[in-house]
Amino acid sequence: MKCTGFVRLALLALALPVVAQAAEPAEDFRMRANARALQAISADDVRVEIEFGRDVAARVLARHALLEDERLNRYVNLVGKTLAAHSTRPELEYRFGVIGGDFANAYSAPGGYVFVTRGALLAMQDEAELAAVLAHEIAHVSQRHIVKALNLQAHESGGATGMAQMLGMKGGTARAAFQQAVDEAVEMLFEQGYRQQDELEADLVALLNLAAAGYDPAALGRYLGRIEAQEPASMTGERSTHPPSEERRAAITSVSEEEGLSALQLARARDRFEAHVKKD
Amino acid sequence: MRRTFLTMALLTPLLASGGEPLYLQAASAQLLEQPRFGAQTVAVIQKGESLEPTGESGRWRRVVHQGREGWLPGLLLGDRPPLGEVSVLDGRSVDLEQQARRRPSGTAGVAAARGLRDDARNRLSNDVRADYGALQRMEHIHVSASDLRRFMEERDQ
Repeated sequence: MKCTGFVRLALLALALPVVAQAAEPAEDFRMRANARALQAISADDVRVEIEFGRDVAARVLARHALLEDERLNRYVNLVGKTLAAHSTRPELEYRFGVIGGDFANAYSAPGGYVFVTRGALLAMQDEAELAAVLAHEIAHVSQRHIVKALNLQAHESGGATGMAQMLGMKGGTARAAFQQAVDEAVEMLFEQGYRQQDELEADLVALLNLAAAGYDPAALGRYLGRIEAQEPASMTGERSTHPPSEERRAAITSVSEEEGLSALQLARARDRFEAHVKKD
Repeated sequence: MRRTFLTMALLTPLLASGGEPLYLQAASAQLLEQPRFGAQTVAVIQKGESLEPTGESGRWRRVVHQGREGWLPGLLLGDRPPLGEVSVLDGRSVDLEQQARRRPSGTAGVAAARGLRDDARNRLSNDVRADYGALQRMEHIHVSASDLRRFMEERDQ
């Protein structure tokens, strides 16, 4: 099995507390140094990530048209930017758009581009549920799931990213390599979906993001439960790239109980949601 | 098992410990008296402020900020100051029209060169359109800091 950046990071995270107590100091130092190298992202890395994300986002918009509803798009941006202000990638300007599609789904591209379908909005009952879906997508960006899945993350040596190296190449080879990565990202969004472990991580990060931003964290479980009830479990392809699974909802319940999130009385903002999302 | 692994991987601090400073990565966050949401707020921390780590509990880190001790979600902390906002939209050198024109042949060539599965190649060859006009409209949706602050305040009234 391919050892992705996230898995390496996760293994390192698990190993650190043990290493700190039991291993040789030199080994401890090396592992900590590697962990920090993975965290180091330069402004140039971010620029390339945004350029890459723009290409992916343009593909998403060619497939599902941006809704020409300025008031609705602005509202979704206000909700999304509220969450982004309480997230962990301050170097990114997140941008949100409502796209066509009568099915309930949402997508995100590296660099901060987030999309939610009109069908998803129609399936929601309040602003907290919209925030939950956007927070999940923001988490895919903040945790750099696509970048890591395509092995485009910063190298442990601290050198340029795979994407930056592509842009640094000359001529058609560089363009081809870059477009190949864009193709793979688009296929991941519309066909394969994220890895289950990335979906679980995005849910976990979203719950914490919702609570930090003052939205009811239970909205995520409520929305997923409703979608699961509406869509047949056998559905495959684009409509089900975020399969609401028993494992996901169990993880959400578990984290919510551990953190006392279910006891919080935070905003649902149903009236404001209904004022902006017309369902007739 | 996988859930436990993920939770630990995400929230076990890779971050500095034993005196090395931590930095808030979010725009702002409440320093809480207890390691749980809903606890009393001790102070409000702003992005990039330096914090001294003094302990941890589950997903939370205990830190000292300007002499006041409290708890923050470990997820919001990093061992480096956060980057300033990065943009490619001001003075970018990428020609969007040229980018759009080159896409079909470039994509098909790459697909062939890589030996992609036939179904994947067919799908890619049919999916080479890109709508940069819509992308730019999306990028032009502007929300000012004051609009955002007012939006948050209205929700909580």
